[in-house]
Amino acid sequence: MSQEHISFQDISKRFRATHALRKISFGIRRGAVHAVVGENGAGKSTLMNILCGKVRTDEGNILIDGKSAYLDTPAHSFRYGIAMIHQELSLVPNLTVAQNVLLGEEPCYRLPFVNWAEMKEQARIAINDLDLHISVDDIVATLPIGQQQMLEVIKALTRHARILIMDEPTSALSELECGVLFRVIKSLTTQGVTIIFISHHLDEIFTVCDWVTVLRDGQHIATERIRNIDQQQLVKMMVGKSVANIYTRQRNQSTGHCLLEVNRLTSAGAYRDISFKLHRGEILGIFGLLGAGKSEIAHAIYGLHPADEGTIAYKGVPRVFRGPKEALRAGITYIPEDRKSEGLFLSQSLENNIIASILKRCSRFTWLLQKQRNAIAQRQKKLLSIKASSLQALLQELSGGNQQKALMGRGIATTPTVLILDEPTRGIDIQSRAQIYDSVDQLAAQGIACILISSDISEVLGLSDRILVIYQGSIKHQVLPDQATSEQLLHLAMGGMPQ
Amino acid sequence: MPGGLSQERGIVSKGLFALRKRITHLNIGTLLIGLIVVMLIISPDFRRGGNFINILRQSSVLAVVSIGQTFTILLGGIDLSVGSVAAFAGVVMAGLTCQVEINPLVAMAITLLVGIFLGSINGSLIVFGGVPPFVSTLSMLAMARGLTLLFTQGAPITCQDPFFTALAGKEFLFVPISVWITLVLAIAAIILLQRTRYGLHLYATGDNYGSAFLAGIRVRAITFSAYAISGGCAALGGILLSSRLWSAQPTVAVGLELATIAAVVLGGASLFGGIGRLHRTILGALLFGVLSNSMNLLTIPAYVQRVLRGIILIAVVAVDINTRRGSRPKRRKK
Repeated sequence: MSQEHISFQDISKRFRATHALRKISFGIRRGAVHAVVGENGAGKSTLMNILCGKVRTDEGNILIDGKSAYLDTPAHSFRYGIAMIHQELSLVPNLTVAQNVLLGEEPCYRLPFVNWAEMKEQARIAINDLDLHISVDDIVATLPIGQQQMLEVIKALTRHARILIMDEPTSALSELECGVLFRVIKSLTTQGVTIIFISHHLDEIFTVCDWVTVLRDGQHIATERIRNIDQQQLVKMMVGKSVANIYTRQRNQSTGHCLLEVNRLTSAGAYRDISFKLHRGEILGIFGLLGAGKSEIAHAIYGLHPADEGTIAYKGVPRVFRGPKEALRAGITYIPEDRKSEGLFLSQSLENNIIASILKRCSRFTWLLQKQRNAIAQRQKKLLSIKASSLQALLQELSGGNQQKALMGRGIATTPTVLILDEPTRGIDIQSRAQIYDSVDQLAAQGIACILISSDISEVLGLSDRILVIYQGSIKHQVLPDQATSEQLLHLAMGGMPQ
Repeated sequence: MPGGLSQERGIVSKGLFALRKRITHLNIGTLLIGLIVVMLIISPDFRRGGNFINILRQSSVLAVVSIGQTFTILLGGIDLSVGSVAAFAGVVMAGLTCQVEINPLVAMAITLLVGIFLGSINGSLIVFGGVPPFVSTLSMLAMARGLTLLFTQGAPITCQDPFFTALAGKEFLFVPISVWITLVLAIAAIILLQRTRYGLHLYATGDNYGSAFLAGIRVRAITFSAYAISGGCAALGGILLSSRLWSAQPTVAVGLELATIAAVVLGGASLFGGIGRLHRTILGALLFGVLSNSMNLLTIPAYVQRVLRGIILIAVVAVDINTRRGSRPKRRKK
């Protein structure tokens, strides 16, 4: 098959106990724009990281131009013409546009003297080729994110990339910039460049892509020509059948009194016009894809980044919390999404992690009271069945699931009135999930109002009393979980119209 | 009322912001010129021709060592060993010239190589040993000082070799040779940083190590070289210092590392790397020179001088940082 530019053959990858990829096999044609889609955790990023040499396969082969390729390091895969445009940009912020575009490939008069004029000229040509208007003398850090994204593309092209992996390339682009990007993509394919396009936006996929591959739970579900399928079919393939039922929650039909009322909350570039009410004993699901602006809304309520406009009323009184400390004191607790970087103290004991937010309650004039600490930590350990050799076990020795439960325990120990859970089960095993769901259920039964922020469809559907779907920073729709299927929910979150 | 308070805050912060905008132009160059102008007006002693030469002569050691320090700070690193390395270099230079009695030019070359070697040890520990720069150069600070004291048994080595003393003592076209050396080194370093691939790669590595690595830059070689350069500059500084004193004093240049860091930071470099200009480092060193000279002429007591130096450093840097960063930190992007 001379037309196959890249061919994956039985690619498998395990991370400890989890199968990230199982026997993935499919081909990508030369000059095609090939979408790779799947829910979060389906294995897209792992597969792309393998292709660009950041992760090694356990089994299987990748053929490039029909020949087996060694992709052990980014430098190796670069030699095969593979370049990835990351979601987090990899530009050097304090250098100019021209310096960034040609970094590592600078034109020189005679080594080692850089020919700045030639360098600017080359960068200018590369930018003009794409009909862009970026000054080559600008410092990269001062450019809008959209232009920085385009620079990444230019950078890859000046390095003669033959296979371009674009990970959510439009996430920071305006409509206009998207149009430019799509035009660039089309013209690249005519030059034989193959593009792998990862996106959560259905419209985009159907606009620019020729082929689509669906991954789900680390398995290859299908590879189809775009023109042979429609949006409904694609979404169905992505969602599949749900796994064993771990959601046992009885919906809370009666509404208690309103604890939190958010009114027209807006923050430039993050979210706009967000309004909702949260009642006693209710679990409000906030669903949206990565980057939809869900966490930012939680941050505004918790006082991390105040919103530009809008009001938050807590227990009927308008409040603006100037920081987590004030929010916590008032009874609002936030459990952050990234347990390692935002949540836990990994080299501290389980006990210290659980009591971290309530040191005041376990101390008298700054002296920590061992008995109190122990009792509180022990209670949470039991409640959430955290598996650890003792309360003194260091957190880094615990599994991801138990770490997450420890974080949950810290939140519960603050005895909140409103509990905000941000992606409470990301990357953990099913048993820990079930235990966390159980405890959330119990908390709601005790009258605590919960906000469940998640990009996991089945979790939101299974646990919430009410779901707000967020798309590009605004509330797209409010749905009741009994009246929605996961296909509909995903459809809405990807910008589809309600049917 | 919370509303009233926040409004009041808004007004205050807006006022501060406007003030900051105006102060933006208060950079190291204007500050230096301003100080010189004021001193020219108020102090007749400052106006004497010989005084300027004196300032330049006194600043040259700090300037030379600060040039090397700029390289490590541009990488987001630090070299704490420069003071000890300078003292050690002085001893090597004076010892080789006046005790072993070899050709002073050869002695100077050997001394510079010794400095580069000590810097290379720092670089190796950082690049291959994974030791943070702070720790590896801190240990070098102790080792080099220890070796200096060990070799001299704590006693200074006096040396009156004509070549040796001429470095800081003799003048060429009315300007001391040490100042010419500083000037040549500074120009070479500016060209290296601003005009060559090496310089661009150094900035890129200090700014964003990961991106630089992905762009195919030899980040380890760059890091290693910066510490070697810093070691070499420290050795040159030590030679000039001992030449000015006509002897190598084993306890000299204690705290020089802090003075060089101050000069670099005063010049607007970021300790996180990637930002900074070498000519501004030299202006920073000059500012310290003019400042000491002025305070001496104004007969400000030595202890008070130290306090004032500290205040000026923090004032300049605080203004600089707050004017450059703009109004508020960027929102974290997912």
